[in-house]
Amino acid sequence: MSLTDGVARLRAETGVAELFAEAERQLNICNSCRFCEGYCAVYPALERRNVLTDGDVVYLANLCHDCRACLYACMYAPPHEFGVNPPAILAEVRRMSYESFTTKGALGRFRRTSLMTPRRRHLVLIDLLLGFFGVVVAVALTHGFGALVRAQIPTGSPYAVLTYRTIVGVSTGAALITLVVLISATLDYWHSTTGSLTGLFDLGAWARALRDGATLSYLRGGAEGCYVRENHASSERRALHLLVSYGFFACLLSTISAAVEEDIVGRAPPYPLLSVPVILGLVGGIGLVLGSLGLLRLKSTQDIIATDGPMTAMDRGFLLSLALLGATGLLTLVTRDRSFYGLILAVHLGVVWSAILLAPLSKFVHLVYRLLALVQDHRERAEEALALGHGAGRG
Amino acid sequence: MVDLEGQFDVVVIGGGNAALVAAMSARHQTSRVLLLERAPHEVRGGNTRHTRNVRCVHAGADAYNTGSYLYEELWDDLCHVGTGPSNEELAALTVRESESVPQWMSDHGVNWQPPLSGTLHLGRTNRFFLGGGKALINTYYRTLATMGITVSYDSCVEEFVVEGDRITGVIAVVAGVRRLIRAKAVVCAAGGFEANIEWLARYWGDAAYNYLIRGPIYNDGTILAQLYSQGAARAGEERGFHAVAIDARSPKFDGGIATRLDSIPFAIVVNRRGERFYDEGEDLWPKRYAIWGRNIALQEDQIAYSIWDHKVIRQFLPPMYGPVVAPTIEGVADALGLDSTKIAETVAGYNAAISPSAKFDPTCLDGARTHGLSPDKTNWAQPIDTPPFYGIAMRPGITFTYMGVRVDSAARVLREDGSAFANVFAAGEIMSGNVLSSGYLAGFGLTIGSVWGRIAGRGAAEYVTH
Repeated sequence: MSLTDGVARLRAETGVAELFAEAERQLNICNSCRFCEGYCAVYPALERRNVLTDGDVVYLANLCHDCRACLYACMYAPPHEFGVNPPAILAEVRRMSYESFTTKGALGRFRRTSLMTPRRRHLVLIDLLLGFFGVVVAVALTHGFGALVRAQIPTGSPYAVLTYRTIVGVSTGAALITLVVLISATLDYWHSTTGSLTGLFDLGAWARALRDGATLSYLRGGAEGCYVRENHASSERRALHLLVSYGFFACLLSTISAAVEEDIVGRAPPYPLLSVPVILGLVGGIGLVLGSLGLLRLKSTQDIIATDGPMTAMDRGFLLSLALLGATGLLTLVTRDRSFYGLILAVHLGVVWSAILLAPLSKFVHLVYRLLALVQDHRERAEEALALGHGAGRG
Repeated sequence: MVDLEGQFDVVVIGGGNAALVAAMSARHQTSRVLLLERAPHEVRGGNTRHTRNVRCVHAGADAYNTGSYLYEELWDDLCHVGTGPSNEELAALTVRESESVPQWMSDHGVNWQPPLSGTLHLGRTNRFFLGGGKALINTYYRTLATMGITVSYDSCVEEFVVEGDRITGVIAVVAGVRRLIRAKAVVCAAGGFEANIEWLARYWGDAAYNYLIRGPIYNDGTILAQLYSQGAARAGEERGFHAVAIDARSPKFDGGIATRLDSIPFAIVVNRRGERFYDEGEDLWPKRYAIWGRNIALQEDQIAYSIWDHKVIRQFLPPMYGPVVAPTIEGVADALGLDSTKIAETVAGYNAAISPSAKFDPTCLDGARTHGLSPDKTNWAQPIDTPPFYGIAMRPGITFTYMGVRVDSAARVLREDGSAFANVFAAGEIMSGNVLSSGYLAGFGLTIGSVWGRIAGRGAAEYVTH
């Protein structure tokens, strides 16, 4: 697998040279001003550069956590003639970079780009469609198409609907495909923004980046939290995002722990209410649903000048599919004694599988690129601290 | 539309730091306070939008200041800018009162941050608020709202209603409608007159038309002129102002901080005739940046050119519009519209005059200097010999004017006959001439606004309650 230059590919697209030029114009004003350097990592990273390359712009765009504090603190923001609006321009570059690295770069290798470039806001529809497709396949495989009409599937155990081997096999297969795509995109991103693969395995920087990611420290936005619109900053976005993140991981752990129960402990589902898979699934599912819906509500009140419209559409699609993921998961739990349990489970599995497969196309990828940008930031900070003779960089 | 009926206890005219501080201070003691901001909501805050720190006395280091800065030292610094304080008593009061300003600001919602990079030399003396001046303004307006202070935007005061030694009301155009607003006391915190080019031209002649104004177009001295017409006494030099070197391509108004140029100590500066005219390395930049506005204002056509080479490009903040770049000095001169033969001659003469023992060190007064030039460059002189070469045209960027109204130690506006208006107070740039004569001390404009905003707001409230 050879590396491709996602930054160069991005620049070659229609309108992107102008986008880069505008981002550079705005960031040059920021670099001459520097008032915002207390808010986040973007401005100190910008200040380490005298001349901006395209790769720098892509890196800064992905380092931005979209707290929007800088926009409302900016005396050069519209209506000022300088028209500085970093959250919006960086969101646009970020979105374009997702497409360049994941859709056109990594996925391009699989020659499936035409299939894999749906409008982001339709992601959730695809999830649903694949979910129902899952129903049809699952039920047909196990009970014949007649069962679909009668909806009489044995209750309680998922493996009565689909065999354990099928569930694990399809899930693992889908996850592997996505993993390969994301690893390929990672190498591509790192190589084309930093110029080499050096530093991608800097464990110290990874540890600090993961800590930033785990605490969502940059959603603190300096001091006041994230802005939804002028004069409305709070810790709400960070709290909701933490709910989504940890809800998601709890669901993932729930699935893994169920596999452990099955394979290692040798205990077959259904698991009692007070068991690790059920508790994790319940808590995670509720977190995922509440967090996603909360973030969707927050987005509905946001100041649209502070962001990029297609990025918001992408966010909405992803949040809706996360909510769907959590909701269908919770439904499998509460309906497991009902006659239509099989249908619900099939829908849930369909949603899960489509979510895994569609992850590289969805806003899910922000996790990858933000982490990579944070790793790069920590490497640069460590280098700077070393140059200043202060020893290792601080987190 | 805000309710402007009835009589207000205190009406504050202005919308920047001094006005906001005055309104909050007044509100602590009276109930009905109105702030009349001339600008629309989007550009509220006057020159404060372009500020980033405040210079205050403090006894020790903390998370935001790297060391102590005692009364004597700030007083000494103030005495060494320009010709020193205009009124020693009021200047001393400003310095003394500055000590409680940071805590007061924190109490009213302000967040702080460690000193900005590239300004480490200010980290001990000046305290930086998070996000800069517009963030400060936003914070204060939010605090005003929670304190129940009425704010009216797009509200330009055109006349005072005067009865004897009192102003009993103002006539303001509010969103296009002229109306009377009644007040028991008035605080004037409406800034200087730097955006009024005709007024500047009275003292500077046609040169004023080549000045660029770093703040908003609203600071045209309307309130100052009205106070003068009501017999207020003048304080401060008519040509006094804070001005820095800014990019000649900057907008006429409101270019703020991003347009200033910090290349000067690492470059040479020539005038339109291609001659150097002032020691670019006289002192550390934070102690000298504020003289270059005036230096350029005094040159032919009020323009000067900074020229440097590749060696020093990382020594100062990158200029917003980018410099002119060329492989030769002559190329830079041509691009700047200068006589290339003359510029090449000036650079060659400068290069030849640099002491061979000179060792460049940007962190201190390195003594790397020229000998035998008029004027010499006394620090940071390095040959300009490494291509590519860079240049930028610069104009004076006027931050604010010093000439204002005379006040007493209670911030009451004084009249020419020496008596005070009973219920008229002033704070901020409109009275900065009581403290500053010429020259400037970074972050001290905010100090004056904060100290005198508190005194004026308190004074106005006390007048109303007694």
